[in-house]
Amino acid sequence: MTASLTARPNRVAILTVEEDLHAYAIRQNLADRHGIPCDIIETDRLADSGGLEWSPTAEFAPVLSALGGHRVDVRDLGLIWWRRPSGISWMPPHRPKMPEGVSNEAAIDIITNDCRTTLAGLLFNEFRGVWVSHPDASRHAENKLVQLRAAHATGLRYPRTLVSQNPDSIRKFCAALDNQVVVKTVSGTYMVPLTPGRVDDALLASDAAMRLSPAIYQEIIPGDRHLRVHMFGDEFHAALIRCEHLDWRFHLEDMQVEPYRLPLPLRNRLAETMRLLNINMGVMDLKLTPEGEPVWLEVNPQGQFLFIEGLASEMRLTDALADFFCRELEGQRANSASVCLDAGGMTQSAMSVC
Amino acid sequence: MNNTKQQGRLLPAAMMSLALANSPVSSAVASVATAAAGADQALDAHLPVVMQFEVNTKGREPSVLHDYVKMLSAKAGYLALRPEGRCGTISGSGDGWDDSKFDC
Repeated sequence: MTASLTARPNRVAILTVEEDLHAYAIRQNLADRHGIPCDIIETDRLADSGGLEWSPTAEFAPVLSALGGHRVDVRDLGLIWWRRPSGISWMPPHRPKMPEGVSNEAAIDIITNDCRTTLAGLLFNEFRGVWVSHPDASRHAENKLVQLRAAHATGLRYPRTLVSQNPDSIRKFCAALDNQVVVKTVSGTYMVPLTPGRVDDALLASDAAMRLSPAIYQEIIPGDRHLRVHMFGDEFHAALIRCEHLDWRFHLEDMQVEPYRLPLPLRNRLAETMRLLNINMGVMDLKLTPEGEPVWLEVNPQGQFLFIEGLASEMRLTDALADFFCRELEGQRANSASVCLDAGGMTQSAMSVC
Repeated sequence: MNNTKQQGRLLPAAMMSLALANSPVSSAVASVATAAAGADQALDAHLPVVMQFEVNTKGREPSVLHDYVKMLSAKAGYLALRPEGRCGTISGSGDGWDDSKFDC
């Protein structure tokens, strides 16, 4: 039997950090609704899991350790949800957990880097299934500058924007907008939660602070209607968030959430933007102007969605994402079947073997 | 972080809400202007400008979300593994999670 005739993997792995409820919810949904086995790989626990292994030959299987302690052969996986692969824990000190007694900083750095690089290498070498989304595309798409260029290319309206650490340019940009500008981080930090804030005279007079690092200076979009758009493959699930605050993320107690039907032209532009970014999952933030015009803000390649489901129970986003994974696995099997047929004109029964 | 707070320019959550309510353009935009004397008070030269806008994220989630997390934790087998129930936030940001930052 050739490789193309072997059964296609029907197993999912979620690469994320410890104590991630999203991962557990999807794992349970895949098992209960689709009968699909799913492993959670805690990327911040690779050091004390002791399970990474790879060899260029078949002498040793490419394996990693899953939650629960069992080893997973990467070749048995049909889909990887590349959710929080960095191993940066949400808990301080925001780095991978070390086995007890490991405290030397150089040792921690070596362990962290070697675990992370081995994980990536063995997956790049051995995994043949579907990525959600591919690591290279995810890294590219995460960049806010790249996102804005993609939105621009597809004709989405976005706020007038300057990314700069040049005080003269920043002052000129803000003056042109009568200082109705917010400033926000390009990448940020796990150490302190930051929200966009409005520029003022004091900020604009602080050349040294402005020069320290580039920031995103953006036209303020007024209004209290925000969109949270979840793209899972070809499906879009949009929520309308009513919140008077600029950054609703920190005002969950002050907002109302309801399903929102995306107008087709907007949906098409968002889909095209995601296509340009080459990601098959994304959680987008937009804002509606008082006139109702949608304005693109950003996409989170691995945005959270459970809180939307928790605030608007009719939005079955866990089901939707699990269904997307299931479709991707089925699509893989179908492709494999067609490869078999192309290769040998096989019968239906033979196709099912694929 | 402590350095930021020592500058006296960082808005506590309650002050920020007040500032937002008074903003003429958008009631939702955080503005350090309401807490600072003006252009004569330059920001700390050793902190990026975005660090003016640190927020307190503790205890900001509504009870309906807490209830949802409890229900989901039990249903998804999370509590069976972690009886204490502690987990990363399920919302977009806060408590060490940041939607905009996953550093893949």
